Amino acid sequence: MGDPSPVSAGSLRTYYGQPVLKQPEWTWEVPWYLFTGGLAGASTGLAWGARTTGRPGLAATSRLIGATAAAVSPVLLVMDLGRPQRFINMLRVFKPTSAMSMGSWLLSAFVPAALSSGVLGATGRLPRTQRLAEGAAAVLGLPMCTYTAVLLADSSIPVWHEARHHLPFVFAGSAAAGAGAVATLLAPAAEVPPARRLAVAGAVGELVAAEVMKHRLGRLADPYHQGGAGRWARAATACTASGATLLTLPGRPRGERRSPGMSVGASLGAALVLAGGICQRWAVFRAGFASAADPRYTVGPQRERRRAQAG
Amino acid sequence: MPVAASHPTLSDYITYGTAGKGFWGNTGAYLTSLLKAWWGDAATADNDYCYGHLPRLTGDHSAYRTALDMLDGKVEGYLLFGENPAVGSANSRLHRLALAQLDWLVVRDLGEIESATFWRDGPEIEAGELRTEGIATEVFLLPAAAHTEKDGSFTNTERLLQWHTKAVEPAGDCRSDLWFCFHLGRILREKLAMSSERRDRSLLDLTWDYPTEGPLAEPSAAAVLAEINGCDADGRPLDGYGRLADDGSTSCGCWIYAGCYADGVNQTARRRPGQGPSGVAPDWGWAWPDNRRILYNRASAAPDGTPWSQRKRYVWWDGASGRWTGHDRPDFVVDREPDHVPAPHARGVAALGGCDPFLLQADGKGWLYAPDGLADGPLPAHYEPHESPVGNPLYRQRANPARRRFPHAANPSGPGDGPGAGDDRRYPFVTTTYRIAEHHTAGGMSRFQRRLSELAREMFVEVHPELAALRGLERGGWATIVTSRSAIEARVLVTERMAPLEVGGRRLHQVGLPYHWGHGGLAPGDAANDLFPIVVDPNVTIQEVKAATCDIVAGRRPRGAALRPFVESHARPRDTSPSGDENAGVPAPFPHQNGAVGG
Amino acid sequence: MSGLIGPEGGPAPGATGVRFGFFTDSSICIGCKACEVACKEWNGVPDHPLDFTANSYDNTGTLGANAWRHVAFVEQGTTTSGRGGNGPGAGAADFRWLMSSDVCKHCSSPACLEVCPTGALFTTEFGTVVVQDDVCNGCGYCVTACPFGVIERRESDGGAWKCTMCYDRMRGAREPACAQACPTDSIQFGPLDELRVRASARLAEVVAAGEERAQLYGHDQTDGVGGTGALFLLLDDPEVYRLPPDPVTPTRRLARMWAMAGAAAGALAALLAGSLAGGTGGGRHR
Repeated sequence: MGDPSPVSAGSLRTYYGQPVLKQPEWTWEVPWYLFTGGLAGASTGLAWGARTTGRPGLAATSRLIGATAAAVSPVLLVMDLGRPQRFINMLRVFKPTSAMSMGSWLLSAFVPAALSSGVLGATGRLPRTQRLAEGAAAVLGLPMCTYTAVLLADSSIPVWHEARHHLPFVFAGSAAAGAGAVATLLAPAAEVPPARRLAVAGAVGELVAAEVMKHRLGRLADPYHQGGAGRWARAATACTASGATLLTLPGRPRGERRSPGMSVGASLGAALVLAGGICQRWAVFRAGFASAADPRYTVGPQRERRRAQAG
Repeated sequence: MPVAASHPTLSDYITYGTAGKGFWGNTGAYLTSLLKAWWGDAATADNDYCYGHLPRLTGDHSAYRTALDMLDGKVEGYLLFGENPAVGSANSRLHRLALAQLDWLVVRDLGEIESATFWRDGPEIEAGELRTEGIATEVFLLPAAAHTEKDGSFTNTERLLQWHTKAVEPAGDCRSDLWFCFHLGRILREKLAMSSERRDRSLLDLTWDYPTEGPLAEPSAAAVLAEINGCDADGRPLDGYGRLADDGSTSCGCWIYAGCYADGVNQTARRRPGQGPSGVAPDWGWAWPDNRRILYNRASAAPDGTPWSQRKRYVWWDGASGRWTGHDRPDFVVDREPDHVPAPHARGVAALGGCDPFLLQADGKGWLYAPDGLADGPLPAHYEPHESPVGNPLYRQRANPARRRFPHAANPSGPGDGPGAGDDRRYPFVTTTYRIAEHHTAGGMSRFQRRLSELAREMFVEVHPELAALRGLERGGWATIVTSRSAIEARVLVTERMAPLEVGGRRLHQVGLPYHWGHGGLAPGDAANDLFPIVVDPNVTIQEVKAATCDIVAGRRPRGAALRPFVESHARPRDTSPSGDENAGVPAPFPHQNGAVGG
Repeated sequence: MSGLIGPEGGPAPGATGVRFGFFTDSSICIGCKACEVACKEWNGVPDHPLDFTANSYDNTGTLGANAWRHVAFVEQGTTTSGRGGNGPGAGAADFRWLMSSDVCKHCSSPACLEVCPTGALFTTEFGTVVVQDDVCNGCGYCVTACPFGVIERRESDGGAWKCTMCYDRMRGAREPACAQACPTDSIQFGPLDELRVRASARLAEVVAAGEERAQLYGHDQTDGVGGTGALFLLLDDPEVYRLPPDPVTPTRRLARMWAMAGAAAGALAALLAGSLAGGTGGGRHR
């Protein structure tokens, strides 16, 4: 491994090269939750927006996507607990210093709203309640997409904490891209264009935010260029960029029987953007582990800071 | 212990043990009181105080001689109390082979130590040298109680006795050593009660009447201490060895302990910390002899009895009261003036002059020149260890000529005496053994404990980075260490602490081995003592396990039947041409890896 | 020692509300690991199966769910420079063997506690930080938050575990097991204010004795964690002992993080609005 720290390796001392920090305990459920939470949050927003702008088809599709992703999200979170049977302890306290506490409360408001909006919307029952739920889900959906960035950044994991100002924008872009991409794939063709625009705009936002984040991280961004996290990050950039490009190309109709606005290229593009968002979450997740595993990411910047203070 | 041929009567033995001057002048009183403590009323002046009941030495009965005799089939049975020779004794492999020649073996320990399991899982079983079915030794493993599970005393090297009280009853079948010995004696005496054989009198005449207490019928340890302390004709506890008499009126189990139960109080159980600036805590525990914290403390005063240093004064002559006084109990005849000159033919204590502080020396003086008592005196000298890669820079005599070597096929040595010993390419390094804080000696009290085992789980070897580079040893990897006795494997710890020595114009590398590991327990590993020969010093027969010559190679040792051929091939003479290549002719630990075993 | 310490070495009965702590003076640590053993015995901490590390005599490796005290062994310098190791002790002048018993820092602003979503972590009446095992649901958030890498989730039961400073013993007016077991008083327990004074005095002594790199760790109450309840006197920089040189409680920057998350959510709303504002597929095309 190269010298990842802002100070030279020669002057950087560690305890037998062993990590200062613990590896996060979190497992595969968490990056998937980062994805489903963002997908759910942005889709409910898209559903509400589509309905209010008179796109019932897009609204219905997004509503269902949002409800489905919202239903999966808490399951993933509970599965990740060391003691899943005690998930309800999350609601013992309301703690603004804990992003997970805030997220739990947010989730416990958002999920019922998104689910009832989805179920009632699909069944057509209790329309006023449905609208209320849909509005609530749309409002709550916005922080659903970005609080997870605080969840990661409010830690001592170097690449997460030091990216605290940029990670929310990466996740926001990724959420928008994901919601747009899924809707592009599943919505009635006539109402796809806004979803496509959302996918493209989100993808561009995600890419730009991720690049700014890595740039600002400086040498700390090395995990995004190396090892497993590096592969996820490269995949994320490649998928998102190519997918967004495909989505912006004017496409040929995919088939007579399907929606006229949809092309093979666009479908592929949407799928790529979606995959890019998943890879992006995994890249961030894995980079956190890599940065915790190497003491130089912890000691280097801190030693630099001490020197700056002393000097 | 009396020697059969030399000391047929008590007076012979007393004469042998009596010095003309000082406190060894009273040997008769000490011995008679000891015999009275053991055989009580049965011991009378008419029967030499049962001197005839004492076992006699008929030769060398030291542990190492006995082990070699065992190996040669001359020993039937053996009792091991808290010792683990299969790991802890020099040439521990020899001890395992020897134990396998016994008819019976009693092991009393806290766990199932290697000396109790050699017959089923010892390294020799793995190597095919021994077969379980072929071992006739009947092993009785008796679980022992720990110090927390029994009353008793610790005696430290500074002679301090500190009493400890049982905290919990021993679990299951665990019993104290005292319990075992007392009840074994009780049962034997019961079985022999009807015997009219003379040879059984020594057992039947014993005072064996210790009170027992509690659900396990535990003998009173305090009663044993009281017996050791001794008592006078009226049964009153003695307050010091000065009261001992040679007329059978006093009994005392150990003369230097007289006073530890003075006034019928267990003095060793006292717990009053030291007061004042002297640093002496006379009311904490009890020190033998006479609760004296520093021996020969009269020497802390100048010949005229005034302290050498006022600041550090310790014991001094108080002219006003005509007595020695100070922070400690004066280790001197308390009213003997500093300028006292003994009468010309005085003997014993009376022969001590006022300037003779070393009371247990035959002339009361400290000795630099020791014409008597040392097997390799009279002056200190430098000798190289029994095995050394260098010659003696001071004398032609390389190693101590009086050392005891126990020649035996199972106890070979590396480079011998004489010129050229240092050029032995087979064993170019020196190895030493030592302890680490995490384990206790042969591991019986630590390698069977989770908390301690996890702190130091694996046998390791410490080498300097230069030696690691020389031999291709990888940090954290495996290395095989080989001597003419055996080969063991250990994980490699590369450290600057193992500094090479510059000796005899060459850079000599050290191989450091902690000796706590054995094949059993929660933290098993090869035993370092497998590598060392049985060679002992001539005075107190302490084994030489601090220095030997060895070789070290990368990788694990050969397993099973391949081990002995590896050790033997390594021992074959090798080309000693001064090629400068340290690795020349070094066989690989796994012969098949290099096609053939070198040598 | 003040009246805040009782006869058993623990907090005196009237000492609740006083912050207690450790002062670990590594200059007199002998690396015996008695603290590790005493801690495990008292607290019933499970074994941590670990291989031989080859890192000096440290086979514990790190603090964690199953190691609440950890003695670090640091070997510095060489023995063969200078006169080339000629004779005992020669050339050893520039070699030294540092040992230091690490423990949970019981931070003034404890990140583990602040991020805990269940309230399982709390500050005791002694100013120490303790996990309530019957509340912890094993979310692992404290593990990522701790800037010292101390707290860890235990594989066998899924809960987070760390040093409690022997909360049960303290409530029983006894000092923590590690401090009691330490044979050299390298680990001292007491009211934090007194320990802070003692630590400063000891540092002056050690520096005066020629240990120029000696320093206190956790003593500066303006540092990123507000100072710690477990102070250390180190003979070299913290990272040499695997301690972070400038730890920061991440929640200190939380307000800004929430603000950025809000801004990002706003940006997302703008993206949604922008996408939906455009033509095609909208109501006007019905």
